[in-house]
Amino acid sequence: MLSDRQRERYARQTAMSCLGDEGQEKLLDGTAAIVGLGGLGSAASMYLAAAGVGHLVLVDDDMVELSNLNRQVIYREADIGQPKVERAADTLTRLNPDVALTCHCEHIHEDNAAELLADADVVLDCLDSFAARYVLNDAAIALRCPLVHGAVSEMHGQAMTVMPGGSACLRCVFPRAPPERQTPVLGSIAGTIGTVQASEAVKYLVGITPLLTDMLFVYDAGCHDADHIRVERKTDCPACGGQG
Amino acid sequence: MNVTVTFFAAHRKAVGERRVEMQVEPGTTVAELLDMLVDRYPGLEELRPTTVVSRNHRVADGDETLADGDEIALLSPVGGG
Repeated sequence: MLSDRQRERYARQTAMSCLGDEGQEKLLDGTAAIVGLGGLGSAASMYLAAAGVGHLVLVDDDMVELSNLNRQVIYREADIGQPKVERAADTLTRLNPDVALTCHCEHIHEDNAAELLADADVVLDCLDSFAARYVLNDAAIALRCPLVHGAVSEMHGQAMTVMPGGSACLRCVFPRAPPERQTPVLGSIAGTIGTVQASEAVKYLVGITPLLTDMLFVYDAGCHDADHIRVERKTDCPACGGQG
Repeated sequence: MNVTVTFFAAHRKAVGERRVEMQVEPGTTVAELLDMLVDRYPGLEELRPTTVVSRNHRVADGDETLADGDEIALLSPVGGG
């Protein structure tokens, strides 16, 4: 049951017939893990907090750097040198004190992934390396937790949603990782794709369909080209191939 | 017959074009088209190991035979966040 304050706070979204008070209660009861608090994670976490997702799990082991600030809009210059999870939590708490936050100043790897994601109803891949993305993909599949992938480079972005046991995973689409290198990014593209990820997470928590399952959304801001590429689950996928 | 090829992300940068028309012989496969593209745009060679090809908005296998009017797109995994 929404309080009077919550009813007012979320009025503009509960007025949507696909969400309503019932959907808002689902959001307030939901937990989203945001892994990576860079450009994607900044946008995604702020919109999830504003939407009233009741519990956000923040995972990142980096400190805020000056060169982050072209795209990581959750931070301020005064945050430089401090842990991203702490500074992001401060911004998110001030944005919406209804939201409970769990902070992990850790790098995700095979040995800690299950523990970090244990409470999550949905996981957002806001990472910046494919090696870590594969770890997150595999952990989400093992936990049977939906994963919303997002990635950006220069003026290009892509997103897709993985429903473990039901749709293609990241390894099905991209079986080979690109070389690891620092990627130039137009900050607003990280915002574009991060907000797509937030929308997918909200839709999943509320039960709004369709999601970007078996579908890679690609977007290029250079010409404002966008496409939806249908993808298929691979039966021989090392991550999800054996999962029913 | 003709197919259109759209490039995204690193492929667009390597080619310097958003979209091109390619004339191919009947029976040409997706992999053979990729060979032709690498010949025309050598910058694609470096990207080839991670290139994903879509045909008519669906990820395609290399041995699929092209049809006149096919819409091809070249994609690559993107790492930044």
